[in-house]
Amino acid sequence: MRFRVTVVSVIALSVGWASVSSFKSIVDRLDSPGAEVRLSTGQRIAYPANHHATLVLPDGQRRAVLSVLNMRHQMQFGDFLWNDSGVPAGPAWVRVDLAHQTLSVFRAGHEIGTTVILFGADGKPTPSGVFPVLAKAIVHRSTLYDAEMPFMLRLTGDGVAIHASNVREGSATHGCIGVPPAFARLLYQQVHVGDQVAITAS
Amino acid sequence: MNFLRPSAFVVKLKAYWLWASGSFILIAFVAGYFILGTAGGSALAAGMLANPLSVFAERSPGLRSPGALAQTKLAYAKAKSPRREGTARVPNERVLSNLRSRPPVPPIASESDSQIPQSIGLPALGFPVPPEQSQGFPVLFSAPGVTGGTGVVGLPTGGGAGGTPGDNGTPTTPVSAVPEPSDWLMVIAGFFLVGAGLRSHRRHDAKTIAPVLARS
Repeated sequence: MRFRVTVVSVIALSVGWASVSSFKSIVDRLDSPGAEVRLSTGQRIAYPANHHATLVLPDGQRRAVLSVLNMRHQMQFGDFLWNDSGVPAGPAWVRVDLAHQTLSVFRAGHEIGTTVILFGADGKPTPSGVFPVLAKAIVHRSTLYDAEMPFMLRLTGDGVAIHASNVREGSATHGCIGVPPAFARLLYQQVHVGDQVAITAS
Repeated sequence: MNFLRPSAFVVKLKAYWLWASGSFILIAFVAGYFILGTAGGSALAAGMLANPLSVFAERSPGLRSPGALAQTKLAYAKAKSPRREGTARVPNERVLSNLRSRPPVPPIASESDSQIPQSIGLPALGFPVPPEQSQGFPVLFSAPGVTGGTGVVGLPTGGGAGGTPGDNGTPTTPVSAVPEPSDWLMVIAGFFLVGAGLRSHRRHDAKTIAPVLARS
């Protein structure tokens, strides 16, 4: 009896270890991408509390912006910036600007992250509008395209999502929004199901 | 030599600069306080700061060239692009269709006609069958589509028939796509082993549990 218990536990342990290590290897691979650069800036550009800036969303909503990251020069493909030190907890939302190929994450009215994105090719455009995050998955494999889509934040029922991609110039997606993997991980931790993602095409 | 000494004018000038800079700092403080602190002032300050949209525009790598990216995958785009004249498309798939031709099997010499049954299954088991005996089992041993399973089923009869070894009992290696009878035997032996193990386990359990049950 004891022997049987030992055998079963050894098998269970080995299976568990194998699955954990395979998962870890996937995540590790994401953590060491090629040309990904995490930028850093000085102080943020803060707007006065009673005269804050506003951003108008595609559906007409107006969102207050208390401060933005002090990144005032051109970013390259694969670059990203994340700085939430001193930013209080609060509701998060994401602004995607397709024309400028950038994405910004806001928490409690303060911008905490920004990156250059990939978006849908002309034949498969990314929709514009305001979408709540429908589902999240750290490891996701697209059934439609048979491709890994780690740190996925699903936006539409037909498969448009924000996920980790190899963000490089000259690439596009089939409608999804691709962000650098390390940024995708930070974004995944920040954004919850139901948080809004505003995609502006102008 | 009067002009070499620090004149009253210079002293006065120094005092003037001190006063000027001091008052400027004071004015800046007061003005800054009003600009940043009051409602009207903060509007002014906000106006001096960059609009978020202009900041985002400064970060942008620029507009994506229109129409340049109809496709995402290079290989996919290449496959879709029109081929140049004169280059025929060569299929590179490796799936075999069920319509295929193979080289004809060379006919077996008339002398070894009687040896056909031997080439299927039996020699691997070490049961050489004399030709005159083996012709008695045409269905079991000489069928061209015979499987390993049939070979095993036919094993006892083949063995019985092979009691008297024939004169041309040299086994030839069979060429067959179906699993070898030895493989089948191994699988079946494995099943027997598993069964035996389970049985012994159950008996062992019964022995250990029976006294406990009897006591209760």
